[in-house]
Amino acid sequence: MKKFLINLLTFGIVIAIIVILLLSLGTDQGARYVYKGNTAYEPVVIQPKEYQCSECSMDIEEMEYSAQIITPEGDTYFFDDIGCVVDWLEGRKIETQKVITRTLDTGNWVDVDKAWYTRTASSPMGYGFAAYEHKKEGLIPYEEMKLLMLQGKHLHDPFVKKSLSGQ
Amino acid sequence: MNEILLSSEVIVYLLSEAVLYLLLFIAAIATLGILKGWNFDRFTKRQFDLENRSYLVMSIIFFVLGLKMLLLPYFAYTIDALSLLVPGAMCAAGVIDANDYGSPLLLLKIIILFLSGLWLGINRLDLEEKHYPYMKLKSWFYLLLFVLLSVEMVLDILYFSHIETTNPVSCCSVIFGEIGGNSLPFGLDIPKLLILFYLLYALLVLMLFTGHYLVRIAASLFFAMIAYYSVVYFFGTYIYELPTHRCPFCMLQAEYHYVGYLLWGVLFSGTFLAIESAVMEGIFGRDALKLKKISIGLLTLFVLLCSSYVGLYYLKNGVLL
Repeated sequence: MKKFLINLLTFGIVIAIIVILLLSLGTDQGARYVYKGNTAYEPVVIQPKEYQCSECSMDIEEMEYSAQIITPEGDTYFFDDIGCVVDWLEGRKIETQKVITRTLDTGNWVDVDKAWYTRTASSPMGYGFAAYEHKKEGLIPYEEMKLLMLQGKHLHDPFVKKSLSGQ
Repeated sequence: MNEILLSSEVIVYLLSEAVLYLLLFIAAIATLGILKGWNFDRFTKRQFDLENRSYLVMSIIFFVLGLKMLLLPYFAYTIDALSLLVPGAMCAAGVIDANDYGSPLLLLKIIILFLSGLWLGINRLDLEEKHYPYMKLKSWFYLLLFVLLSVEMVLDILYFSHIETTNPVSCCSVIFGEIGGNSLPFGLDIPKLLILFYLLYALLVLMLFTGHYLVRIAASLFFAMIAYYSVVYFFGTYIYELPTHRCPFCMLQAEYHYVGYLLWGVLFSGTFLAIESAVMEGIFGRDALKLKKISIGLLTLFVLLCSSYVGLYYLKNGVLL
């Protein structure tokens, strides 16, 4: 009787393990960060909440602030905020084919170093940086935005926030 | 000569490894001689000499393999200490990732640890008998182990001599962080990983009461793998009390009361004893009740230790991470 119970329990546990593994293998969890095979190096059209930011893991909802990094292998990484792009690129040695961002004024995808950036936008991560395709007064180039982001001189800093809101 | 090779921990480690390897080398040469002339049924002087020599050689191997087991935690301590010299490294994770030799070396050390334990088990069985029934088996097994130990020695030297102190390495948050995809195997998420963790523990304990030796070995290896991911991606965050801190090495540090040594030690020992009990019962037909009892005790301690961090955190803060 004891042996029968042990065998029954073992059988139940093995079945449960197999079911969990099959359920996991059947879900798309692994694909929520990276879109593979984009060898045309074109912006990937995604739905809100379909992918997560590779830097902060937040769902990408506000598409007008989103950015994408495409590697030579065609792996496309998604970001909810241009500040996350800067942080992500800073942390690793990765070869990139294209780094693009959506722009607020035209809605087009533009190379990050060809866009101009405001410091006072309501961006998803609250850094304040957002891209514009056309240059306007008060907008800064990518390198300057990147430097400010890495130095922490963005809207998370109360002094920066106060000085920018005063302008 | 770079700074790494001049650090006292590395000097002690490499010197110990070299001395032990020299002993193992002598033992390997002697083992070849024993294998060539061994015949227990012969009553010649040569056979008696070989029996005496084999006792000495096996004692040397027993002593050295035992010491090698102690050297694994010291290796972890050494690479952890090197994180002060390697720019960017916050713990052993960055140092082990500093060149291409680190991860294979660590994996090889764990494999050797398991095989050494198995050799010690067979040696014990052999010495319990009057006519050394497993002498040839354990000698061939030792020679296989010696090949792996030689590769390990070469990798040890290559690894420590190729760690740069000028090139920054990644810290553990970058290596184990969820970058560009799910880091867990089989597409698992954390809840499913945890269910699998507890189910495999239950399965392994059940298997220790049954005669399904192959399933016991498979369950042990699978449990070790899932336990590793569970500790790094879930239980570890409660040890560090930080949801984004995922690292198997930081817990070896003083800030976390060196709990990593206990945690990994208990996991490896428990898993190994489960495998050894299956080998002893399945291949050698020996009773392994004591091994099984110790294995269940260690595995239970491991599961309780991991779970207690989550429970204590919840009791202290009223929320989970």
